[in-house]
Amino acid sequence: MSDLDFFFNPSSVAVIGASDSVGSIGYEIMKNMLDSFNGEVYAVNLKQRPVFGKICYKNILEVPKEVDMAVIAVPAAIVGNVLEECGKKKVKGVVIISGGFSEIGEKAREEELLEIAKKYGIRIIGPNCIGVYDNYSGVNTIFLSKDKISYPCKGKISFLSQSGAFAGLILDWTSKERIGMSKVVSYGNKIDVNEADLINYLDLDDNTKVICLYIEGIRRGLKFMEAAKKVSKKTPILALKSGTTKSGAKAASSHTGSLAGEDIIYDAAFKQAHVVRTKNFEELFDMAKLLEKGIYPKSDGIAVLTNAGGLGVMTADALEINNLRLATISEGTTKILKERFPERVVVSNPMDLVGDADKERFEIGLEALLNDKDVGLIIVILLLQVPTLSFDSIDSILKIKEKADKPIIVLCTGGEIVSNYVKKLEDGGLAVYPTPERTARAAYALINHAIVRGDIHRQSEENIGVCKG
Amino acid sequence: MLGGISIDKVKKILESVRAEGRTALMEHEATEIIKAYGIEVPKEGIATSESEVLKIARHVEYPVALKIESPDIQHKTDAGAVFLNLSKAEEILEAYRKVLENSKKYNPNADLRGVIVQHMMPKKREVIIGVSKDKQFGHVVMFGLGGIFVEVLKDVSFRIVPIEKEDAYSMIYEIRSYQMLCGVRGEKPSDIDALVDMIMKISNLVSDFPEIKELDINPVFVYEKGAVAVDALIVID
Repeated sequence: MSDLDFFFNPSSVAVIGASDSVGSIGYEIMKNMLDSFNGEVYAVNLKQRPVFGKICYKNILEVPKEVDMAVIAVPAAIVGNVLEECGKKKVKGVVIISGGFSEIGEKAREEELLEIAKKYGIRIIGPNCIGVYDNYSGVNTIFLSKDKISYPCKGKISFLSQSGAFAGLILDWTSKERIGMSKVVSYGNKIDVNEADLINYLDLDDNTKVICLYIEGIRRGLKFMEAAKKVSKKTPILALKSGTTKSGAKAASSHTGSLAGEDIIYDAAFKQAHVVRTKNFEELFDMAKLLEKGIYPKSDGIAVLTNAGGLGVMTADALEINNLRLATISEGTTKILKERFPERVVVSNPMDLVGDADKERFEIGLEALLNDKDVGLIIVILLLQVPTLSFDSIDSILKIKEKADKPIIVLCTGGEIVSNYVKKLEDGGLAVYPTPERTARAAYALINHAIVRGDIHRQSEENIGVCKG
Repeated sequence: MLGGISIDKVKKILESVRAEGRTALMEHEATEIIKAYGIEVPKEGIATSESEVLKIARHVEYPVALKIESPDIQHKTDAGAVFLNLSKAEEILEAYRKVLENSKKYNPNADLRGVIVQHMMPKKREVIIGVSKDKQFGHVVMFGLGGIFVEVLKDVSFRIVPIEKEDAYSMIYEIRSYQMLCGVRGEKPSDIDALVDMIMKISNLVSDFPEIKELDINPVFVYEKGAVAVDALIVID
């Protein structure tokens, strides 16, 4: 089931409905495919006018060579015929961009497609979607022009979206946020390939370290849960589910029935399948850009190293709200640090290096915390506006990070000048956040996944289970 | 829990319910079903005569509650067909007559199958364990503390069937009123393991019988040792 590789790494792709008229969907898809995809691209269109100087075939059967995958962008009424031809051509998978199916009540058209697909063993993504974007293979069935949107840099985050518009938006937005993306799939009406299939596929993908989902509704809940439960043990899954405010309470004769709203059930399903549900898309990608690094803590103890006292305290608060634990700094570490730090630095956690901290003080603190057994994760709060830190100070932090076997998160914010520092930190491979709350949420996702993976013993959850007092 | 589960017994009860064209089970039927899955219930029996009612009351031990068993009376309290805390023979006999009399008055056409004579468990911390059926996810199990916690504060947690032991524990820990089960004001803590056991059994029951559409065990009395399902409601498709 999970062998969907021909959608992402085909050797040849046919664009059915390819067009030479600027601004049309068939034009944009051809342009994007030719631009980034290294395999063969064939244009297919009844009109047979050349597209971007390429021969245009009347139908896919006339293409002289094998075709792995086809993108279908023709009117709904003839998608069935086109699919039949794809079947005869032994195409392995089709992305049906065309709309005009169950979303407007035309369920019968979908049944017809499924029947044809079954007959020939073709897999379908869509219909009514924008399809597949693969930052590594260059497959791009998305009809958004590079004149209008920017595409993100390569990364290890894959994103599955029920909404095509939102998938397109995320590509553009992540490019601005400098968040690296791997694969983006908009699967529309999901008559065949659904979330569960894609999750299973991405779990085996070397270029995916975290799976993000945008979900409006899941049709086959138990299939999804089964896949998510299995996959999330290795690859973290984050989900944004919309429609949370809709009250799902229905007429029922039992208490349970009247309380079991739709949203509360999704909550339960995500919890059981170890899928972290995020509040909004900002949080989704805040978490994803940390999980993407694939470095997990071995202890749930968090150390906070700061040259800004206030932010340190705020971060400690935010961690507690997220049920996270501040590490207990060992006597050994404390002794070393007391010897090396000036007296005004109180060695504790959060560790306030005070306002005149220079890069050496940060180095000493970081090295010591990295060697402390209870510290699983370090949050470095950098107030770069102070005179004792410079652009170069970042290099020493990056150097330590390179050797570190523990995850390091940076909280750093400010105005336009500091944003250049932030860029340098991010380019150096660090996840940087602008507020204590967002830092803590990302830390939560990381520790949560380390627990699910079995790297950390479930200490925090057991603590909840123990009766206090 | 001693004794294996009895799938056949549940099948038989559900068949007879369907044969009568009903979807709502009577209380005693529901009790027998959860009992067949090893869930602890108060001792009870159905009396159809005055001599029987006393015999059963002695057998299940005082104090007892008397309730009508009829497919046509859903709201027994409204019908005046519930009498509680009976410990003397004459009280029991009088209650027995009144249960029948009030039921007939409430619904003259009601099919009265008998009177449930149930041992009254000592009151303890009350919880609710329920099941409902979702279109996308199938059976979901709910857990919460009884009374205001569920009704007013809606302090409940849900998990989707099949439930693993770990899920059952986490759904108990998850509710805001969890500390109430830890023993407040000098009380002894409640038996969490017994609740987990009951949740697992309910999950198994509805997995085996997908036709169960709704199930409420309300209340469950949870003690320092053990938990007892005092009242069960089951509706099938």
